[in-house]
Amino acid sequence: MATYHPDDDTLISFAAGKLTNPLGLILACHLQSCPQCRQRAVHFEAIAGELLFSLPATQLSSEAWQSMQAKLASKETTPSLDQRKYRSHSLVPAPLQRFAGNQFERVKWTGITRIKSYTLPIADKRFSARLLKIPAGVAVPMHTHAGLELTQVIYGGFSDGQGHYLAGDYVEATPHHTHQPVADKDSDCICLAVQEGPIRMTGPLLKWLNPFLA
Amino acid sequence: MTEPDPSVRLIYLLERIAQEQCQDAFSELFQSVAPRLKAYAMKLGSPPMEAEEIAQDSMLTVWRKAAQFNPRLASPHTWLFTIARNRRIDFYRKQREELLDSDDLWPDPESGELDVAVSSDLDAQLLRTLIDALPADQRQVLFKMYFEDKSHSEIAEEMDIPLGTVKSRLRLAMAKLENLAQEQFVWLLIILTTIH
Ligand SMILES: [Zn+2]
Repeated sequence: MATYHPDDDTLISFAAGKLTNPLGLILACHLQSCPQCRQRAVHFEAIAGELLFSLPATQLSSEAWQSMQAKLASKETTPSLDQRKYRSHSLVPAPLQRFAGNQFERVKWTGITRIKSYTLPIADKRFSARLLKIPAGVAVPMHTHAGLELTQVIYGGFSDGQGHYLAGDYVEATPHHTHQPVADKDSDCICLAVQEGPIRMTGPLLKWLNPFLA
Repeated sequence: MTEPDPSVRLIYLLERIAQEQCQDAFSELFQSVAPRLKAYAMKLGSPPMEAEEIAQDSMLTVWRKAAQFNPRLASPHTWLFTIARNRRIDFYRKQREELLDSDDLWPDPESGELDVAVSSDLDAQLLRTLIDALPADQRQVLFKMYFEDKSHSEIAEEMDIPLGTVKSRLRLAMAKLENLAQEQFVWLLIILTTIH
């Protein structure tokens, strides 16, 4: 069971459907593993439902019902209406299965160091998202963020001097805070990380790498 | 509470649609729900014709998925909201050929991934009464938070109030709505103790 959770404002934005892809995806992953936050999100949906029905209605156009009937009659199905099936009992949370299939081994990991990453093709103007695989006991180079960094621990665990995070935890690192996450010794750690803006390496030898690491 | 609960009628219509594909029930549901869904999409910035299409897409989903509606897990208003939210998201994502769609963000619990299904313990009708009773400034922030494509700081700028005020109004409104579940429990106790 997770110890670290997203705050209510973030859960409301998620329930309202307002989050863009990287943030929406990391919230979806957290909710898959956290019944507590799922319950809160359902509360916020209940509030949204009542708010929606207290909005003044907008008149439909005169042909609205006719074109509705045409839609009903047409046999074509919108792809999104055919619910996709997700593999249960997979290490890969359902929201990530589109990118990772049902095994993290199949991900096209890249990286010149022992830390491997895979950038998800869903970045927006502010945020990017990637999967990180940190071998047991290995430390991520010391770094500072220009913006927020959100991490959902999917497998294993890590520590960063502020806390110890395990699978299911949603960790929020605030800007301008330098930290050095270290994977637990007993297993590799797989995380989904969402970053706002570029990251700055602060270790002595890594500074020159900055332009290549974003 | 003397007004009849509108959800009773909605639940009845959804059941008719689910069990016998009743066209009359769908027609009544469309007339009462589609104008709300259109209003919702317009509030979030869709022009009228797009908003109407989103409302129709949503109603098409309602027609096809009516059998999945479970009044014990969600009120009809909540269920209809989640459908409209997802159809609106997919309407725009399809145009931009984005990789994620609403099924990725809210996977069907029936696909077996979730270990625990959760339902809201907030009573819909009481919730509505409470929303109506909120002070105007709190209700306004709540509406903007849910139905306008803006961040907290954009809301603060627009309403010309400090960011902290937006956050505290939101927190106050939420605290009121959420005390509901507990209050219901207290009322239940009062009823039980007065009976004995
Ligand atoms: Zn949680």
